[in-house]
Amino acid sequence: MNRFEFMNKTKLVAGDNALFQLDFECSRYHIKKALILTDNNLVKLKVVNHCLQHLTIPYYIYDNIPVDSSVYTINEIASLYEVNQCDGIIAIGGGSVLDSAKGAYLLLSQETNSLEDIVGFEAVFKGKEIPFFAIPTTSGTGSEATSVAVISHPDKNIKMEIISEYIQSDVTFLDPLMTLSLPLKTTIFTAIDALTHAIEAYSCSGKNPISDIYATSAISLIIENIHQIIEHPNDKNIRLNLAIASYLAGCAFSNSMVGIVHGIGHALGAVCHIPHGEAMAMLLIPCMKFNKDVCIDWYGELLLYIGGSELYATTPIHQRANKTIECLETLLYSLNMKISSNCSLTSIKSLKDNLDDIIEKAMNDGAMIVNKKNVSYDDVYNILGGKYGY
Amino acid sequence: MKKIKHFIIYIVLQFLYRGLKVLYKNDSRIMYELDGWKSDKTLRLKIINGPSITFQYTYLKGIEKLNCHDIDIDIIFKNMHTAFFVFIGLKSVKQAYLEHDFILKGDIFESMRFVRCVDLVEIYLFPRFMTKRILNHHEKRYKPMLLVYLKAMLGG
Repeated sequence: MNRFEFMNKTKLVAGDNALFQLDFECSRYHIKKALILTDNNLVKLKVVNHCLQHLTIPYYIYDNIPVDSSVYTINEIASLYEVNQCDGIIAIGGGSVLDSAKGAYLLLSQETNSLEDIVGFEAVFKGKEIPFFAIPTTSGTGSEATSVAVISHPDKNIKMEIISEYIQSDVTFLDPLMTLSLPLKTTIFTAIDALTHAIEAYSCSGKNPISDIYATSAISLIIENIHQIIEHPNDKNIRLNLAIASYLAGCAFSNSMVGIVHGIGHALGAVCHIPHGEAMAMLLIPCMKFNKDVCIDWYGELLLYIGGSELYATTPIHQRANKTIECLETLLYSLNMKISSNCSLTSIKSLKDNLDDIIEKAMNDGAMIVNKKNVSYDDVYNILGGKYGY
Repeated sequence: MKKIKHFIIYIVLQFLYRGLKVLYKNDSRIMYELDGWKSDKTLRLKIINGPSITFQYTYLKGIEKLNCHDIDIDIIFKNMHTAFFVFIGLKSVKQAYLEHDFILKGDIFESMRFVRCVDLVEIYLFPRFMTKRILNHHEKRYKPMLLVYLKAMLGG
């Protein structure tokens, strides 16, 4: 077996009233004044209040985090942390808030002024201890569990990627209250993002026995709950299961990486501004069809978690990979119908005009080299051109 | 043994640099990748407690060796033994990345072009039976391997 490393330092507090533990965890980490990072919407919707009501320590709130975390935001956060003499970070939000928090955490912990000094793959060594808690409000990015942060540099028009084990949160709180107000459409697409994380984690070159366990557990939870959430959007148990699935998928792909679906998906987001979850829904099937000849065994194994034990047992081995793709195709189709979404590559109007730019960006995404099957410029062109359907 | 590995890696690093320099002018795929940076780049390949090489890409001059501390993409192998497998063609850069054999300081997106270039240089430096084992794709040589070796030995 090839050598692998697995890192998950995060303590998980999950379940009903998980946030009751927030104050105690703050004292356990000796936080005397917390910097709370969030966005305007979550403050307006009073989602942040679910956390604040359990805090007895003083705090300073920064709620100006934009949809795309940028170096300027992160520099501002870092200076506010110093000015307000905070000694811990609590990030409440989705991927952008958590990525901004990770960036600021790393700036402060490494005692540097420039994020450009610390970008890269495991480019930094352990820095100053700063307690960092994550409270996700979506169930998709898995950012609360990952060692990855992507931050944009608006002036240079680039995205900077940081991969470091030190940016994993110390404690993550998964409380169903935090995702209850998430619109149904967003809930579904973020769950599809998590599902894609898990499928890619299970079928990319970096997969390992530990990440496989996280990935398959995540897939089972999503498959069991994704239809139910449409019928019962206010069911806390279903919300919690999706949040746990997202966390599990985050743990999986943080250690195994993702693949071509994310490689092209990031590029579609950057160039055509397609929301990430929707990009995943558009690309999952075509990319799995592209990968199928190389990943046939792994896709076949996934039928157990996606189609259930009966279907798995009654499907001949050589047909299992096809069946897995078929099941996912049916799932995505029915979800699209239920939430009245027309999510497909053909629906992107600006796709053809920006094809070269998308292909270029996709090929330079780190996810591409860990895709099990080698990906060429022509392959990306073919996928986006509809050779594999969707 | 460590000294031998040090010496072999040093030699391979020189061939990698010279191969890249020669192929920038002789293989359009490498030219396409490097020109895609659209700005000058300084790269360093370093092995902790081992040899290192620093070179620069410029649009006008192609690849040139350099002594410089202002590095854009810095690939540092964590130890000599794992680096050795990569530099003698027993392990791909991709596999080394997956196994955390090196750290990378700099822009990960921009580094992907360099990774693809190394894959291409390897198909000229190593015989097919070796690259078949480490690369998950087959790429054609645009120039005879012997010619590239000859040009590389003569300094590119």
